[in-house]
Amino acid sequence: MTIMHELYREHLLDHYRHPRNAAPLTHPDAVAEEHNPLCGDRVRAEAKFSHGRVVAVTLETRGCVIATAAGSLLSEWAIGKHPAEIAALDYAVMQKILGATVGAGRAKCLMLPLEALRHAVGNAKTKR
Amino acid sequence: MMDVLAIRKQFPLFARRAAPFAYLDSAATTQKPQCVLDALVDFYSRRNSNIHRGAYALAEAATALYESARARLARFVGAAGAHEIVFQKNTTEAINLVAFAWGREHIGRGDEIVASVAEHHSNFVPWLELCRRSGARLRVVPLQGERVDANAFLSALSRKTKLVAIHHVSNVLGRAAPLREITEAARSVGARVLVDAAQSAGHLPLDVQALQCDFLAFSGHKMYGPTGIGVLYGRAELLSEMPPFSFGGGMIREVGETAATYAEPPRRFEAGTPPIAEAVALAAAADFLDGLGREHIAAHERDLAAYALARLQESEGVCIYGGRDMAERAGLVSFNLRGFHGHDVATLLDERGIAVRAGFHCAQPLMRALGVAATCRASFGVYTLREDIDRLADGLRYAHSVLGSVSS
Repeated sequence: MTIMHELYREHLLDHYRHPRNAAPLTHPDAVAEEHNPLCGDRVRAEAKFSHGRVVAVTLETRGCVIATAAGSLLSEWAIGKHPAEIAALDYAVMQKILGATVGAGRAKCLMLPLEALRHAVGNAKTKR
Repeated sequence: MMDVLAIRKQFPLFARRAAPFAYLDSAATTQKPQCVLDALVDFYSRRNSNIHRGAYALAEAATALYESARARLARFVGAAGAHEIVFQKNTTEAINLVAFAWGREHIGRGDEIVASVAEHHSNFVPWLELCRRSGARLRVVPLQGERVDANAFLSALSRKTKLVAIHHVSNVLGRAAPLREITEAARSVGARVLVDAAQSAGHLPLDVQALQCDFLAFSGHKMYGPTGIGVLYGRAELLSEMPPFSFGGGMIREVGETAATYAEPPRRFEAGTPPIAEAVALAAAADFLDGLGREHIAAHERDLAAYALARLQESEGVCIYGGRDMAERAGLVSFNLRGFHGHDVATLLDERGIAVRAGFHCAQPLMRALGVAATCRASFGVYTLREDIDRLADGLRYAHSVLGSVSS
């Protein structure tokens, strides 16, 4: 069966079935959780820093294909980045990271992992 | 039996689509038949004028059309007369009118309002808010085995109960509530009953005398009429003791510089220029439904529900909410693909030309009671074919194959 929908191509389904960086970190520097009460999706973000950069990330997502794959791909993207680069991410860049166009109806699914990660990174900054 | 293919031809939206389209979201809004579109266009192209007090023939004709639409809707629900029909924007506004105008006079500290956990937010949040303002208590009746149970309701009623707010057909469970037992019990403790008929007005025979309710609210756009218009039925003696809630033109008797007096119901509750063309088109929708026969529509949709329950039960990994038997079943079924998110399922179905709704359906307390974050919902109308349900079953097989067997 051919899958027509770009949101459900094998690449994204692979990240959905086997999300990267989903296991809890030991002694994370920053932790945050976000959830979308509208659909029940939940993301837990953890991060470790070294010399002002992210060296380890966990994005543990319980949700739909878009949220889970976005969390997995974002976790890979975020390693080595400066908190300011994470803070600067937006909807357009998140679609690039996902490699697919996400309509307004599912925008929240795409953005939820980013909100959790930003929140975690922001918490860490206030701690320092 | 209804000739569904002939009925479908009356709906331009289906005629204009080249690819097959299984529209299974009639509970959110129905498609519109040509006769309703014609009524709107006819009003604006030949009869358009504001109503009341226009001393010219066109205004008088428009007023007569608006008031005859009111009389038509009174017959549609079996009201004692047109004076019991208040035009509102939709079900939500109609219920809010009762919460604000009737509630302010009749609900106070120590009183109780009783509602089922299965109410749509529009028949839940206005009562939460009224209770917060007045110091009354909202008693929420739990489900018994995924359905609204008359006995559970009865045990929540007492002399403190001033109002029972209950749906006719649940927009998630797809079943009619045991209204007769509930209204009887409510009357025995002296409570009023408001029925949310949003999911029944376009699907089942509706008779406020038989239901013995005090208020009944529904939306035009869920019964083949236009958006922007809904109906509040209220028993005449209750409407006449209700103060106005919204103030301005059209609802007054006399205005001085220091005080104003107000018109009799129903105009007392229709401040400002009402949705005139929409009222006329809603009357056309009532004609459309009665032309088909609401008993026939109900039988058609029950047949579809039985077929959908059977097809979904044989589909792999489908979990059905609201029970699998046909008692009091109406034309909608909620389900999930076990382990998968409703949004993913709905997006994959959409790719195959199948429109279902996924989410919490404006019923978060009910979602919690069912123990789910969201469900998918397939809902039917006069134009729904068994083939649409076959397409849904095929689509679910496709979604299952795409999403794989990993549970989230």
